[in-house]
Amino acid sequence: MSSAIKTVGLGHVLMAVLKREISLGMRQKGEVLTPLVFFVVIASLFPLGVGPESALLLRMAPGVLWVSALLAAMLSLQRMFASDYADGSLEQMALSSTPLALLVLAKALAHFLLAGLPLVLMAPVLGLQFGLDTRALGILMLSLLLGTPTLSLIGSIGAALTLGVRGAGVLLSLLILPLYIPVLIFGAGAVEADAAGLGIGGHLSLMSALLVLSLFFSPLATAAALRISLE
Amino acid sequence: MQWLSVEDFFYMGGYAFYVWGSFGITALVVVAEIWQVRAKRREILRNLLNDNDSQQN
Amino acid sequence: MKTRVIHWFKFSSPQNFYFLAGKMWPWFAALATVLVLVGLWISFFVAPVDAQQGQGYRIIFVHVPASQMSMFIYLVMAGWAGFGLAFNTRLSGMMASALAPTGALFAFLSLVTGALWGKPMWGAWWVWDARLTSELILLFLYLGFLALQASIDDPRRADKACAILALVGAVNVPIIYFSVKWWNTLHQGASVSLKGSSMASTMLTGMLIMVFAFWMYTIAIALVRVRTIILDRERHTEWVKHAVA
Repeated sequence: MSSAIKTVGLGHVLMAVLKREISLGMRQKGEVLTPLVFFVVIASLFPLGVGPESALLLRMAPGVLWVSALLAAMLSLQRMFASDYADGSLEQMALSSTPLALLVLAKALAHFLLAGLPLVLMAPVLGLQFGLDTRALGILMLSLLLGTPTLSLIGSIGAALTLGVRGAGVLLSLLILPLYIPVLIFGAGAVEADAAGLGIGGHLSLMSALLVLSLFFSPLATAAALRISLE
Repeated sequence: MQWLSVEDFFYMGGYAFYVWGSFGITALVVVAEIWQVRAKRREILRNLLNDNDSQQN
Repeated sequence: MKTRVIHWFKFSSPQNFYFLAGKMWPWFAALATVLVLVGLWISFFVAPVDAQQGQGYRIIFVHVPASQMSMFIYLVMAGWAGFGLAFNTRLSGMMASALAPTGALFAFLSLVTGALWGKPMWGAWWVWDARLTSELILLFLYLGFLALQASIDDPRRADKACAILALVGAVNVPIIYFSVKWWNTLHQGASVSLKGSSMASTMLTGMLIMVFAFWMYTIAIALVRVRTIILDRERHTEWVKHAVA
């Protein structure tokens, strides 16, 4: 009796995981929108803290918006594995024949689409509040577009390490914020460099390099961390 | 010997606070660490001895 | 004639390593003490005054060893972690855990002595110098390691999770350093160092001896700490019960 087991291609599996993540995310709209609102609130706190002087805000804008986006992206990282861990589907994923690293990649991609992309789209609106001009807004969006997938990928490592641990939320932040620093430096730096009349080619290529590196290595580290957490 | 007097040595060319502060905090941290390691060892040994005793009883 | 073969792998068992470490650490402590005394002698009585920084430069004799050791310990920690993950040895994780607090303390010392050096030289308690900022981030990495370890109850799982964290951190350290260096030069930051004044050979010697002193101290303290960790983790074994009684 042959063909009782249908072999499913790798691409199909990844698409299935991606679709699942997105439909789950869409069902929990609150969980997806809250980080976005958080982004807006944090970015608004800075002017409230330092005063409305426009020159200062313009100077601060790239860094402030990048830090706010980074923190907002971090907020939703726990979602990546927590609910699957709780209901046992994560174990099933680990036991399946698909390499866990690829499943992790799909989950990180889904996180980027649900958490990172909204930030990229919201950033120009906030940028206007800080007085950034159109060109700067465009570069800000581009830097966030290149950076937020990296944040999702690096963040997945932290999410896997702190699975089911006491105080996981804050611990996760402590673990991955140092690792986020290069992305922050080059992302915010790109916008500032352009404002200063310097080229952004270097920044963007470095951010692309960070993205490629994390695309290759994060899923492996995350998969290893997941196996450790599942033991 | 480059120090003209003991006072000179402690004065450290005006940098007394910074130089002695640095060496001081280093010494403090080292002493504290050694103390902490020994205290932890004593604590673990005490716990193990208590376990042993309660098992023998 | 029978040649004695040392089976080094027997020391990968916590029980054997416990006794080996017990014999070894006093030697490292003695070495550290001698080196520190020699180093301090050179620091204060042999090394001459600096042309630009006066007597204040002598802080390098603790600042540089602390920085060097904090970075070196992190790499060694990551090394033990990798070894433990690859070969599934219990002791490797224990060694990494034994080294972490010392590394964190040296990172902290590096920052404090860096501030004490920066204040008279640059007028500010903290400058966002590339090396100091990288050291601060290194301290965060250490604190993350210690926090993760403290929050996972199962020691084996804690060791393995921390191992992954240490390896990821170690890979990231050059990236972080490079990006911070770039960030600092773009923003025209100050630099806390001895650049611009030539380093007399006695200064270099003093620094190197202090680095070695700190290194020997680290080994001694890590060996003592790992012995306590071994006793704690292996408390249900017979040999521990006998060793303690």
